[in-house]
Amino acid sequence: MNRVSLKDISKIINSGLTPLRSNDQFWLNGNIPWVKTEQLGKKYIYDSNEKITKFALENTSIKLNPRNTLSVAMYGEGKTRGSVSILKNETTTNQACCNIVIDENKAYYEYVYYYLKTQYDNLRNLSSGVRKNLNSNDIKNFEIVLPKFSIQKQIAKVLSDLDAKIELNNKINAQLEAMAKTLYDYWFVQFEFPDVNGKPYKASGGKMVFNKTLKREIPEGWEDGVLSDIADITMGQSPSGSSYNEEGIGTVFYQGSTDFGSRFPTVRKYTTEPSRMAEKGDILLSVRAPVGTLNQAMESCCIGRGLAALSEKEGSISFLWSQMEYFKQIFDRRNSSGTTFGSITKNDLFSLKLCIPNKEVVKAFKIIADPIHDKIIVNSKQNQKLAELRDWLLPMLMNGQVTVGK
Amino acid sequence: MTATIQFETKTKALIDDLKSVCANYGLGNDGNEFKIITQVFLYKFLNDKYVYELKQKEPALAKAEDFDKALDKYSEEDLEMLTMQISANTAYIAPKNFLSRLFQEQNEPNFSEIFDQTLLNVAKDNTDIFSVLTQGGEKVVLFENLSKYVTDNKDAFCKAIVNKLVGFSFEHIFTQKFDFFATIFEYLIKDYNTNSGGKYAEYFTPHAVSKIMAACLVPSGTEVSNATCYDPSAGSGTLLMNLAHAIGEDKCTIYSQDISQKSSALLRLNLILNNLVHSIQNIIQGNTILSPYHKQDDGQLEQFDFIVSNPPFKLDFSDYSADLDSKANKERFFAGIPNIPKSKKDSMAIYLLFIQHIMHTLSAKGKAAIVVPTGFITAQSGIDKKIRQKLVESKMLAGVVSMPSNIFATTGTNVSILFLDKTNTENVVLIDASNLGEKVKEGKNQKTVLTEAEEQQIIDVFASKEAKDDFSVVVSYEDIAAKNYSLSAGQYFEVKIEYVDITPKEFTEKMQGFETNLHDLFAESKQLEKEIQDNLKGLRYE
Repeated sequence: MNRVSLKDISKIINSGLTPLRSNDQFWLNGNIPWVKTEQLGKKYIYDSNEKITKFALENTSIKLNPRNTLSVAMYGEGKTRGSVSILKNETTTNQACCNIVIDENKAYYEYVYYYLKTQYDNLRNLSSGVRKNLNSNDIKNFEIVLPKFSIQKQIAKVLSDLDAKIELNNKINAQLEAMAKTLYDYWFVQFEFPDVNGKPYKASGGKMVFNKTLKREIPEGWEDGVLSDIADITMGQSPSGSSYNEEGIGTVFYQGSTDFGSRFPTVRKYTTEPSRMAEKGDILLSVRAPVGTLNQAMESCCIGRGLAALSEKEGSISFLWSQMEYFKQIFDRRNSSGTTFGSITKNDLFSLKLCIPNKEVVKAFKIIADPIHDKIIVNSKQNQKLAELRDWLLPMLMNGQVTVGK
Repeated sequence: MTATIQFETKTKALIDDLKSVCANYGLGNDGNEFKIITQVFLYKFLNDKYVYELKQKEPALAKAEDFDKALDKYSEEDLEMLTMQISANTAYIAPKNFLSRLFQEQNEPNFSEIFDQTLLNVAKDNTDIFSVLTQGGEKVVLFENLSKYVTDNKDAFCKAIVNKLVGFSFEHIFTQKFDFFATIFEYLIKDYNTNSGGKYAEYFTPHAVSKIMAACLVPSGTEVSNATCYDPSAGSGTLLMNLAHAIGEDKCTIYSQDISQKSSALLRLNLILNNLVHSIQNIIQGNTILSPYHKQDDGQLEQFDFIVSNPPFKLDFSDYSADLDSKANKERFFAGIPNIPKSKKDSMAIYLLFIQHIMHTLSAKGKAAIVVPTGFITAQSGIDKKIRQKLVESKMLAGVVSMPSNIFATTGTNVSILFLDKTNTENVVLIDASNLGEKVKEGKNQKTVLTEAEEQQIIDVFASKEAKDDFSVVVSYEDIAAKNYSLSAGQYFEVKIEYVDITPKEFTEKMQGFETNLHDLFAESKQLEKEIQDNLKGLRYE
């Protein structure tokens, strides 16, 4: 295995730029992706939050990077500096991204991507200056270990397949979540649940009654209620700071929504003096800005004052989860309407008004929705295992400890 | 209309001329420039007003080709008789103190002495009605010795000033209305109304704010008579002028107190311009919080029918904060006196004392409008919350209007207007106007400007107590107590989620879409699972 510098295996290494902000011609109605370092870190980047115009591309020295360019974050004192991504479409970037166009005759870009991922700390250490920025020269001269091309491909495939499966699971989860939401909205917001004849209730002329508390019409026989009618709620409380540790002593402790992942929180801290507990499977709700974000507890854990734990009184979580997602839309509206909505108090949370459907309908909903949630949970757990496997294999594949044979 | 614009242009030109004379004699940006400009302008105004009134009473004088000569024919007794017919609100100018006389004497040696003496004479002749009182009992008369502010060429300076003054007669502007004088006043003081490093900033309250305050306190069509109007931190008096105009200048008496000398002088000028001379004797220069001046016969603080105020928000009052903790103040400052912070003494929340002072000095049927920092209406603890609690429990609220940010170009603090009304036992209207207005640049600062339609919208919604989506709510005192005494409209808005109903067919199609997608994804997933398992089988550990 030989060591080569990045510039020896690349066609181009350069950084992007930011077209003059004050010039509307560069920005207005732009359609060319323009990536900033804050996006870097995940494997593939398909699109950007901001776009520049064709005019900007033609009238500034900014370059359009071809597909499969590697992009390394050069600035950022936090975690950003040193992160790397693959730009999956023709994309421009700002000056903080170092863009590496790999020469496909010399190296395989996916391999180089995985290699650079193992070099996060080394890349960060190249930094210079007060603000600890990297510069593109250091990156050009950065050396990587390069096996034969065929081996590069084999190594990359092992890792890529794992990442692809994670991505696929995320897609499946997104579909499942959207499906559960569609069903909930149709049945409980629009009131088109199956009536006695299996027909949509409201559309088939089911009787609606105006409810004064909810200020809207609801199906006859349904009632108004508050959140604490359908859920057991535990407000979090932070144990004393001296009980925190990161060494795994005591109970898992989640402080707030900063620990949240896509479905399950990431374990960062433990406490030896757990105060308020959430049980395995409970819904975790962020009660401080941003209010309303949801996760699920995957083990019995201690929750801090940024969280509340909710469990449905009748077991299973599918109905309560959808109800909480519905509330989240309300919280989001409030957050965005400019009114500062820093936190929700115990009283406000317990007394959130909701419509309590007929029990049979909820039961029927759960029969459909519970398996959806079960599958989402299985996929999320699988993703954690897959990521663990990938992160365990990655350095060993790169330093040759583990080889791919036939 | 065109006449108004013409007068406005000419008056502004005169002000510009006076300022340029000051600049030519080295007074530009001098702290004394505003004293000269405002006093000279006032002398001109009073002079022309007296002449105007004389001509009204004596048509012969109005018709005379040469007014001065015609007047010379009148004996002292005749003139006295004439002057007595003129309202006491017009300052008396003895003929020897006329501007025209000054103009004739401009080439005399030591003209500056004549000039000073003339103004001092006018001040002396009008001490009774036109003086502002300090809390120490000093009378601040209309004019002072002005030429002392110029070091060299005093005569030439006074001559230049007089020559500018005679150019344009004010006689025709006295029929103009409130808006005209408001514009002129603003123009006159605009250069002297800045926070030039001082701790006490006499910010000019923006038009939109003062207009909304007056219009919500006195909705059009309300009949008020003999009302007392008060501002405990009057500044140059914009709020009081707007209020007095809404009530009718002849139907109210104005009272004020302000610690700043400059403010009191400007306020007097404002009163004179706006036909409120009868109130000058109620203008007090002094510290409202420490030594409130206006008292009843029994020593209790005077109570007023209308109070408007844009008090300073933050000010270091640590020097006298201990003195406030007296038995007499227990009731006035019921919610407490802000503590002295260890550092940042200049950010002591003095507005909390002003709000309490206003609540204390409001009559049984009184109404008030106070500019407060928006933080006040939601603060969860401390004096702020105690005050709100009292407002709700004693049912003395009318409503709150939260203004857009940067409505004051000079401060970034968001402001709301707090409306009190001791007679309102019913519902309270809360308005969130923070999304209105257009942002414009004013100098270095960003400023938000409301259109006239937007101002009217706020005024109308306030008057009709109307609930409008995401703009206003009407709530009961009980509702407010239940919401932790929050006065922020946003916290009472019904949050509506836009939801579009779908047809059974659309629902079925959507679910089928999920089904197909999932079918494909599950198949792909199986394939990948196999690949991964094969990959793992091929790994060798060395």
